[in-house]
Amino acid sequence: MKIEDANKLALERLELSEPILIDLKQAIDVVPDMKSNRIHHAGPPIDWEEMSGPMRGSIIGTAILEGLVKSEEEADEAIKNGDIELGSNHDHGTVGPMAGPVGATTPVFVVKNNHHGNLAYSPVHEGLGKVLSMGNYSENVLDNLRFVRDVLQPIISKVLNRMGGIPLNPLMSEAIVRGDELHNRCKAGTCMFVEQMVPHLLHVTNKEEFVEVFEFLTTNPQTFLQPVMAACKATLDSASGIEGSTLLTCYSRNGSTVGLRMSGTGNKWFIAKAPMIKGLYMPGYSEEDACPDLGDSAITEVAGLGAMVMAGSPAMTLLVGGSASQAASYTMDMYDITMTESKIIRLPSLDFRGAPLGVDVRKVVETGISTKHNTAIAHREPGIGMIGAGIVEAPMEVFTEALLELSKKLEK
Amino acid sequence: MKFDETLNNDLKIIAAGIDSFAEDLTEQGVDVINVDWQPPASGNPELISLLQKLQNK
Amino acid sequence: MLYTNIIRNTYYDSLTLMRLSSNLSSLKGVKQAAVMMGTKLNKEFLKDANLISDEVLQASPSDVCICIEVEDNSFVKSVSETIDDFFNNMHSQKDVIRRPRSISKAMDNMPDANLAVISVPGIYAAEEAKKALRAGLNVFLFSDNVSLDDELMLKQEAEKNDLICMGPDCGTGIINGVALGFANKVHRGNIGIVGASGTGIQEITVLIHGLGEGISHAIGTGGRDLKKPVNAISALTALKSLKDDEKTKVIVFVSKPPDKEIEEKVLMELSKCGKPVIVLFLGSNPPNELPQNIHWAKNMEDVAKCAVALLKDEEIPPYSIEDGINKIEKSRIKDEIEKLDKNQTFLRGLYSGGTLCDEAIFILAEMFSEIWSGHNVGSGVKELENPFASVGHSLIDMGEDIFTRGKPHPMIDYGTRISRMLDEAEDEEVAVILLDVVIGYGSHPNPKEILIPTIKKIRESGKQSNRYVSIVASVCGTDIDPQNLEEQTKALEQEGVLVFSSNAKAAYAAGLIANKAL
Repeated sequence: MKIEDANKLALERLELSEPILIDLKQAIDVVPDMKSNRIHHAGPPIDWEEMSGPMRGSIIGTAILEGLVKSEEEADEAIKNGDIELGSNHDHGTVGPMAGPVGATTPVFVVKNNHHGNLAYSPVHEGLGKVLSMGNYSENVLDNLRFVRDVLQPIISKVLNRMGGIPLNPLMSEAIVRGDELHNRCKAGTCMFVEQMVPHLLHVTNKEEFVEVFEFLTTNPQTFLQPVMAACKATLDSASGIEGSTLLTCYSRNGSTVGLRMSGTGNKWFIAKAPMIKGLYMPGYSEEDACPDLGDSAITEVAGLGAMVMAGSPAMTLLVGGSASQAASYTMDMYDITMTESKIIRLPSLDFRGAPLGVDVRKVVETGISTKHNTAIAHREPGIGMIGAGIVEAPMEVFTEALLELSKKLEK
Repeated sequence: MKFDETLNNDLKIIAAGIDSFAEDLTEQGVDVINVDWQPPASGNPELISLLQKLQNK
Repeated sequence: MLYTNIIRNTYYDSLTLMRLSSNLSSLKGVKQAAVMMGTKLNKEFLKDANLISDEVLQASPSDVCICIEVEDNSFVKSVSETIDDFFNNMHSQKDVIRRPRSISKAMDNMPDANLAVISVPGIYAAEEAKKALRAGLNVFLFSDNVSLDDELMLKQEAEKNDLICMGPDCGTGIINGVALGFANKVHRGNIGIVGASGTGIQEITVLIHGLGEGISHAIGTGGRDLKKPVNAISALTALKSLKDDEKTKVIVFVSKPPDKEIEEKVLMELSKCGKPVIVLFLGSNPPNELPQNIHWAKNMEDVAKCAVALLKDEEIPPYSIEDGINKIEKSRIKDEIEKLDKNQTFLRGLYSGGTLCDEAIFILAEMFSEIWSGHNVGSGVKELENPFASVGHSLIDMGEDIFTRGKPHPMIDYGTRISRMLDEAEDEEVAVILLDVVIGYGSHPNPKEILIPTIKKIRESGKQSNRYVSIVASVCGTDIDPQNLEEQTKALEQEGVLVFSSNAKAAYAAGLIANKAL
């Protein structure tokens, strides 16, 4: 197939995608290949020895939570001798925030792409501050996750089943109009998401459970990020593996390396060293303390959200200097590397122009403009947590390597 | 626009390259957009030929 | 000590507050600073950072908590000023003006664009020009180093769509009164020009302006248009347009001598255009028979005079350069000759305009038995083996590639020409240095500023060795050019430079001086 035709088909798949949030289930029940002694993580696959601090911490915590080990030392040994298997989320239809740990009993949102039938998964966002996904596995953090597993999961599952699923495109579309960029800022989306569930929540909970669940969902402004990430994954996966297509389908980071996937080269990872992040740090911290780029959440930009739509998120403009025109120029740059404009996500500040959609890897290499990603910044040591927020650029080499591979494939 | 028609119309110019050419046009009151032109693939000849190859596929 | 300030019932986004925290942290006397909304989670953070106080513990999630550890009380003032400043000046003035990064993206903002002016490095130029032509734009392609194959491809693409590709290596154009590239500001009028030579067009438009007439359009084609594989595609497109253009009453066609069969083709087209035509194929003789409407000119001054006469429907006066030099000029030439030593006999021409240089060569070739050129001009003119070192009467086009590699053109950057001037002036056998000073759009904003100190240096060093070198120049420009013809001329004349109104006259006068024969 010609590249232009392949890309046309890939874009059509993106545009027809209709992600629906259908359930919250334990990973072992839904995630491909998941078993009781497996743990999946964010980013491209990486050896235990090469993992960053937060990534190691998150895997140790998950192993403890799953009852596989009792201590860091035991976890280290079990992983080294193969008693615990590791794998990449993206290789198993999953996307997680930051280190993104998913064990057998980790509850994951299940999003179905209604048009194409494929599924994607994402764990529940734990909240801000000290969390397992930033490598903290203190007892408080694990307790919070036990609550998610034991209380939240069955309740939300019932709610979603009662509702018959929640179509995510309309929610995402409105959240953008209300000023979210749906990566670092999901406040409006979280409100609307919870609002829709409340009547059903009242049906399936007692008063105490309701208060607990309601508080958990609403005190964390990033709650909605996880259904969004799964929606992005379900949408992009449907356009993956189209022979000859130069559509970017995945970009993800594990704190040590970053990996890219392109439709025409299927599930092959193109890997480079993870860059450091320019950003705003919390008091007392600086770039020296930061872990290199981390997390599956860059999937939002690949799907046309986050930094791609900076122009539409007034509160996010401070991340890029403070003026509306600076934020707008970020989004305008992205139109130079994308193939089309979204019919779902529209930006009021650009007179309702459709968001830049469908990154063409060729255009990235040609213009030298890389994809930009909004992101949280984790401390390089496990246990400390989030120390800032910023913007990071994907390294150019992963884009050029993908093109070289495609060119080789097409010559065959 | 056909060249002979262009001779009877106001010039609307897109400029790429030397900035002073665009500045001189602006000074003459001409409607001009000065492209922020960069060499493709940062001027890397191997990547340029790769892109051309993929452009024609 | 801990400084705490609570702003009640006020909301700021965490990014705003992080920015303020980081501003405060960088102040002198501040050990650490945190500004946060008073949420439960944030209070825990402040506690861990030892920035907590009772006031903060009691703050609500809708209060802004400013918690700063300062070295002592004396720093509190600068801290509170910084806070006030921040909130008072949150409105950012840093507007970003974003320019589109490609011609096709620029088309989104200007869908009715009709011309692309392209001056990117040669290796990228053909690709950009092709994109512009395919998008329906006419192209003015200033870039050089475009292959002949690409030139042919571009011109065929243009022809197919009734567009024009002016260039590659097109220096000058005036379309509808708009100066493109290196061009002079001249009156609009009824003389149309097609030219395969940039400074040729400049000199002719300037001289026509000086004679009180004006230009309808001046269309450059690039130097290779009249060479073989290209077959004058752009020149013929330009001619056809001028033929149909109501404003154009007289047509000028200027180029280096074309290939013979192309010359015939062009003359054939010119004969059919129904308008009076002046042809200048620099350095070549007219064919035995010329069509009736075509007048053959000797040089660019001749072209301008003929064009104006034809426009006014007057008889064409006989032309000689000599007749154009007036009494005052003659006496100045005489004065110059008297200042020279016996052994000062050579002329050195240092040019920035290629066609101006060629014109001077052809004029001087009739005055001297041996002329050297820095590049191949044919017609029995000898080519210097090393263009960096003059011998005898030498004329150098310093706009040739060999001089400009990695540098701006000598019409913009006088550096190379100035150091060559100083070298030539040191040569004891040199009688006269001949220059062109091209002004107008694109050129150096004020050449006199560069030339005057150089000339002063030459005069100074001449005094010490008791030797005088004559300097002769023409300024190619008009009274309405941004650099102003009069200002440039006067400044040069004040330093004893003989300035002429045309390059032809300047070359001729320099020849007289070197010959010491008036």
